[in-house]
Amino acid sequence: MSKLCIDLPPTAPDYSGAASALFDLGGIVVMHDASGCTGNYTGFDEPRWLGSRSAVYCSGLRRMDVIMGNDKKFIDGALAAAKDLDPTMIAYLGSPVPMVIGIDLEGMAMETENASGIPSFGFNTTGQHYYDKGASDVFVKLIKRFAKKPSERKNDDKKRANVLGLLSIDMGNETNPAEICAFIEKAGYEINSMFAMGLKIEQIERVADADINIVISRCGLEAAIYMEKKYGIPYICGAPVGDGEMFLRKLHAIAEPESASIIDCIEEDAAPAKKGGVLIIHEQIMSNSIREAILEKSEVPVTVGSMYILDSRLAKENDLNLPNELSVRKLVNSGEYSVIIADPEIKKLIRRDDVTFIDLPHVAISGRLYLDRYLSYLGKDMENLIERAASAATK
Amino acid sequence: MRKIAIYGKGGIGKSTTTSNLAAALSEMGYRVLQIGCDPKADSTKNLTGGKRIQSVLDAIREKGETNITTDDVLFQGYNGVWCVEAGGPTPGIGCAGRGIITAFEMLETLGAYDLCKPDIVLYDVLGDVVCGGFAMPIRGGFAKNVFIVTSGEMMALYAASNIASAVNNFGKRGYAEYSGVILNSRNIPDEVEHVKEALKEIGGDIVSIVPRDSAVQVSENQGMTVIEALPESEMADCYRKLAKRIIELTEED
Repeated sequence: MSKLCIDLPPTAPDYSGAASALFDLGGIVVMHDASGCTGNYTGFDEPRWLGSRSAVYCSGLRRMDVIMGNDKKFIDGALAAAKDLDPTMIAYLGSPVPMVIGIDLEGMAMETENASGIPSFGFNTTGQHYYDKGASDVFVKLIKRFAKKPSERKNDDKKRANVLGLLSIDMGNETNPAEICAFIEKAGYEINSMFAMGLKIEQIERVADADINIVISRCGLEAAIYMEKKYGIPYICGAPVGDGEMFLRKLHAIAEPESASIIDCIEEDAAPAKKGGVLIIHEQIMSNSIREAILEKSEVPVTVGSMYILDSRLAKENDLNLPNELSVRKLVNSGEYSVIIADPEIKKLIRRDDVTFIDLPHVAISGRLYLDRYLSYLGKDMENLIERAASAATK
Repeated sequence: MRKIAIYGKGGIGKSTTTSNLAAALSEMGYRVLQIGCDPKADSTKNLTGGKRIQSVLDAIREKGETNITTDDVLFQGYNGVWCVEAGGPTPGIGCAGRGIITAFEMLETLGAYDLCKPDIVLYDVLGDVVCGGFAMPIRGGFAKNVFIVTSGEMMALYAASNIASAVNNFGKRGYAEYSGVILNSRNIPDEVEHVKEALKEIGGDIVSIVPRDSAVQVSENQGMTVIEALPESEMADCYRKLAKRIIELTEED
């Protein structure tokens, strides 16, 4: 029973992450489900859904379809839609029922592509993983399919960056990715591709032309690792937050010749491996970036807690995996943290009055509930958050 | 790597044929991995001295999905043949087809193929392609060639027809291709003619004829393949011929 969500909404699942990653590509996305999963994505997890024209469909999977194996019915449906919409690609996303009976989504995609000539994909999302895995799998598969060899542009004087992890579930609004990209451009880089808000097939085709990959949130990490192996493109992990100073340090460091990829730039002795102080519960790379900024201003311990399976590659020694609401509830009431930065929904779990709670909305937890309070990651909003956290924890 | 699935009617001799084929291929110097895809989990027992190995689903049942290692599911039998049994749910409940999918996913997660680095993978699959789970061995990334074991009996040929039809229907998906039948003889009158007649409708050819011989039973009673128990026998040579034929008919992936 420890996995029950009593006060918190369920976190965004893998199919929502996958659909969000595909949202801007101009393709057809078929969520293979009875309708609940599609409704979960469109109703809660996708801030851009209302007013959008993105072709995300529910297959309307029914009992007899499952029993009879009516794959053809759904393939024919996608093909009919493709005639009207002229999509750039077609993707089938899985949900719990296809997972349980083992529907071969990749086989369906191959049939679809053979019949239409349109690049088609099957993504084995199951609803049992988190949004970041769904988006991560999509990014890697898209790059493997569409990326071309580095062009002659690679040898010109311009510096280019792929920005990986601009997912609406993390960004919350259109402003954050725009500001982040403008900041990177101001630092001297041309934006080569934006995964995934604003992503187009042409951007995927030219990913190998980039000089660096910038991983803004964890869903972009596997794609960065793949491109490092395949094309030798180094990467940094970090989001520009507040004044963006710590981010710029990484950007300058990676520009040095023969520089290796950089996960973080916290000196070990600047990140005290002890409990207490500030707790940040959010997307892991965003949390790390906020931690770096706080540590730049004070020496308080800062712990990152991840509700989406802690990635050990991005974690510090005391960082915590928070697999369910119960573990979050226990942690926020443990008395170890004087400042907690998290989605406003998590505030409901706190029963103590000696904790300073700072709102940091996250669509993955609260959906569209707090979109009007979503922070600008760059600028005064975040600078104030960092300042407030540092000073409250020091008291 | 050559990836081969062996299908056929229940009780037709798939596991016996596959195990002897694996043993014969290993004698030819190939590294062989045999994966039993039958909830009974007895495909490989004649390669392991008649002892059953722990199946993937049994290992999951015992240790949980996150705690098992290759040592729990990957075993070496006669002449270094690697043996895996997918296993199945508690008889009468659960979902055997989903069990096969889970076992295959687990083998990939564990890196089983990287560990044993097989030249040839043999998937020994239960009965018919009854659902998505039992089609798993012929999906993209798994077997490239499907051979069907049959006798000249009507029900065995009927099953062979169904299996070949299912495999051919999946052609648009890039699944494995139907590559012919292995005639496991039951000594019925005009057996070869019956099979040839049926193949006019089913398609494909007889890849090899395996005669009915008591050497098989004698060897199985010792928990061995014929190749191991009676290496000098005519029957052992027959399986060696089958192995050579399979190599001729398949290509490295």
